[in-house]
Amino acid sequence: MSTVEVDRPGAGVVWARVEDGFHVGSRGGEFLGYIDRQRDGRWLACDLYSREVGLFADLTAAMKALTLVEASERLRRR
Amino acid sequence: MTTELLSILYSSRAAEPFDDDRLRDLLTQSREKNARHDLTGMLLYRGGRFVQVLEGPESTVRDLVATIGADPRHTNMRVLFEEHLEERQFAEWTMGYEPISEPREEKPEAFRDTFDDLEVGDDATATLRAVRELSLWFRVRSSRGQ
Repeated sequence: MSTVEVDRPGAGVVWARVEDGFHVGSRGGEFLGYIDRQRDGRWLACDLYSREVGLFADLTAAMKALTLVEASERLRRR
Repeated sequence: MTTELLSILYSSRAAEPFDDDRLRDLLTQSREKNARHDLTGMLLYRGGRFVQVLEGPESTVRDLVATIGADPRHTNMRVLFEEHLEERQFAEWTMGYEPISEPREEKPEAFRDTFDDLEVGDDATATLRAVRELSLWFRVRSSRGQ
């Protein structure tokens, strides 16, 4: 249900490490996007179209942002 | 008559470690051959292990996979995934290559490891997801080099 998804946008998201500093999130076989550590140590989050979602100081913040963007996009499409 | 496009992903282990020169030779050889046979794909080499995607006309791909299987430069070849394609996923690469290193850091808690999932064998969903993760990684790395 959408209420659950709004309350828990990270539910069902699988995160994987492809290599050190490069992580991909997906849900139900669809990509949320990826998070790529930059040379300065910050984390660049991009959606599945490689559009930048933002630069973050830590991985958790980048994961949260990407998850929220994908959840809101999914709700908007309904 | 149309020729179906097939994509096959396999992994194998190098019989001997490949240094940069040997890898370069292998890529040159593969790219020339693939261009002649209308094949595209990507190659990864990590810690003595090859992971390769080959795509093209089905019979050509299957023939090449059989040839590769008999190549003494590697062992333990395993086809991990195959699918028919509507369109190529690596159309721009006769054999794309991006260096990838073995992990040195602890995996973040609760994260999966793409390379582990790739060869899990009994979980088709995890294998397919891993294939797509690697494809995404490859595209991002390739575009960064452009």
